[in-house]
Amino acid sequence: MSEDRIPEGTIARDEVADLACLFDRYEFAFDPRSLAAREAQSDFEERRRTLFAERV
Amino acid sequence: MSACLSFNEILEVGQPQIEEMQRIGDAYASLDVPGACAAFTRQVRIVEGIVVQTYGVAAALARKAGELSEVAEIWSRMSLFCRSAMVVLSSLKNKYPYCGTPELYDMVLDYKLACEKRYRGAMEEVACQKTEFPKGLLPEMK
Repeated sequence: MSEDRIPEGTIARDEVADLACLFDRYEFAFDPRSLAAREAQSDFEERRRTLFAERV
Repeated sequence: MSACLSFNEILEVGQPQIEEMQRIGDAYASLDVPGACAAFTRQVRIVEGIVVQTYGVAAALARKAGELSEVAEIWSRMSLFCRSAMVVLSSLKNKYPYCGTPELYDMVLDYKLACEKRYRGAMEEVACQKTEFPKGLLPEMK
């Protein structure tokens, strides 16, 4: 196991910041149908699922 | 410049154009009347621009709002605005099927669904703030 691996049950500050950034990009998109907004939402959901699977 | 508008006032600016779409749609007996499609298409484009612009304003305001109840209120009002456009469009999309009407209806429906999703999200967050989590469910903050 790598020494800098984030332990189970913990989410790093950078990871929360990345999620918040993605959320901001789709939740407050001026055009909810834009490709950028839909991609941001897809990335958000993907990362959320991965974090849940790896840490919870 | 210090003058400003509330979101309600912005919605009021757009509402007459939705009513104008109904008026123009009703003004012609059928699509075959010369000028009918051109006049209706022009108004469809105006309403499209207003819905897009007003949604953008709603998103910007929701992002700046200090209270979740305010966010919910913004999306609720924007959803009602979309609904008022959809009511007019649903009555006219069969009469004007080739003037951008079905496309605008689909677009406004997507925008309305986006508003409702954001409204529900804000209301869930409001409920979450009032919920006391069972002790031990979440790790203690250091």
